[in-house]
Amino acid sequence: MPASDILNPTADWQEALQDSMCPDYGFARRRANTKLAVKPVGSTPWTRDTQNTGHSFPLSWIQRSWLCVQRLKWYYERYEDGFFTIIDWDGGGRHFVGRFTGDFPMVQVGNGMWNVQNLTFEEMPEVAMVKYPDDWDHDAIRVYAFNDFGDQKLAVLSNAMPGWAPNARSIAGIAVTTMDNPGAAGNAGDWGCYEYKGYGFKLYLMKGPEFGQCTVSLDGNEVGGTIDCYAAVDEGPQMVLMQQNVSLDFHRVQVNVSAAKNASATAPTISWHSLEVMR
Amino acid sequence: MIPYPAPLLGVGGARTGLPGVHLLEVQDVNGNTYFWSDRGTEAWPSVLRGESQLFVPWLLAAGPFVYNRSQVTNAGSFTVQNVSGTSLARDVETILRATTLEGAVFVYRYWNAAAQAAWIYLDGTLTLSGATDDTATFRSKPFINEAEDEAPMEQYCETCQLNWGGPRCGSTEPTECSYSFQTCQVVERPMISLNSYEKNYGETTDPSPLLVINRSRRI
Repeated sequence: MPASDILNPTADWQEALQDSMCPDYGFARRRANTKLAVKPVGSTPWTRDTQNTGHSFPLSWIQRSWLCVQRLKWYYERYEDGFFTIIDWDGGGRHFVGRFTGDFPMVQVGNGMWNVQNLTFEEMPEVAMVKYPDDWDHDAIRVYAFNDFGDQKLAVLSNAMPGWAPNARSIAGIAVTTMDNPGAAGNAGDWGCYEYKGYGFKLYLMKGPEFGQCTVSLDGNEVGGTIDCYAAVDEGPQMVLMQQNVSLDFHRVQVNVSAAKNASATAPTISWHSLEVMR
Repeated sequence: MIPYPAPLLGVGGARTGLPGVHLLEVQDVNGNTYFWSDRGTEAWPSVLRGESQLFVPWLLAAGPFVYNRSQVTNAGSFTVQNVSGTSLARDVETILRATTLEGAVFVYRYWNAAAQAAWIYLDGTLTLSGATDDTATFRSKPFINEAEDEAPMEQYCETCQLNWGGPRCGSTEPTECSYSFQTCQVVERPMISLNSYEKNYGETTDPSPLLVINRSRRI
């Protein structure tokens, strides 16, 4: 796959090139602002992600060898209608897939050296990667059924009354509103769905003696089989499913209520706590 | 003379005071009500409900308004945000998908909170006049617009235009009439032009010209 073509597979000096393919220090790691925001004059703003655009970097290779610049130009030409991988070695070794955009500014500066200044690398959504982002501690964000302003972000569908309902909980002393479904017979097929922009996700549901079973689908395809939220003791929110190898895009994570429970469980409730999303 | 609300007299000349609040109340054709303002979620007195309601901050712009001292021509426009909602569906989109705001009744007030009275008041019905990726714009229409009245298209002629046995006809006879005056079963109701039929009623004194009518004609 094209992603396996890596511009700078190593941060080291390459003897064959008499140079390194890594760009110069000090470039901006830009992430396109994809939030649509409108604000009534006397209120907090409403926002919504409207594009799956990712990062972009203005990169420079200053005082580089002819072979290095030649290779850069080949990547520019070859992947005008494609994509390749670049590794941000200084930024934690994270991979980015995409291509160069704009024009290719190669300038000879004497002594056989060349400059390529402010060449834009633009990340490409919806394409596979060799190594998907995995720094969950620093790059991932947590989204809940309700946002910080109290607006419901988790879309729900109920086949029966009562269906999904918000439930104010105190988890380790922190007030959290989960979205709960009783999981009764009539609730089979009920779902709660969250659409996010990003890469992979970790799904957190409540686990304990009173919780039942569900299945999860990602963009309409079931992943992970049946998930049993039963636990002998109340464990609070637990990661029940993780999908790391997911391309940058809009994704829909949907929890489908099975209306079934473990024989030991006291109730078949399903409770949506949060979704951790890689950005 | 249009009476000026007494509470506004006291604050009208004040150099300082609370800024006005745009309040828009909407009741759609299915009876659902929506309360929108340009402030954070807050309770304001409602005209449609007669009691305080929570107004959500959806209203981005109201106006300009045109008043012509005639209910038919009073007009204005309203822009509401179309961004809020769950991660799957936007709120305005959800409303428009479930029902319609076309023809919904609205009451708009530019409300002075200190005086508890409205500086500007407009009511009527709404029509969707445009939408962008983040807003929806509604235009007001008056309650009364004769151009939009719908009436059956009928011709006043020698053939009865009513449906036999229908509510306007009222016949309870077992057989259908021939839609003529002669065969009418409810003679006080036919929608027929009593033309001067050939000799049936003796000599007419009506100066209208005689027309030969083929009575076997049916529709």
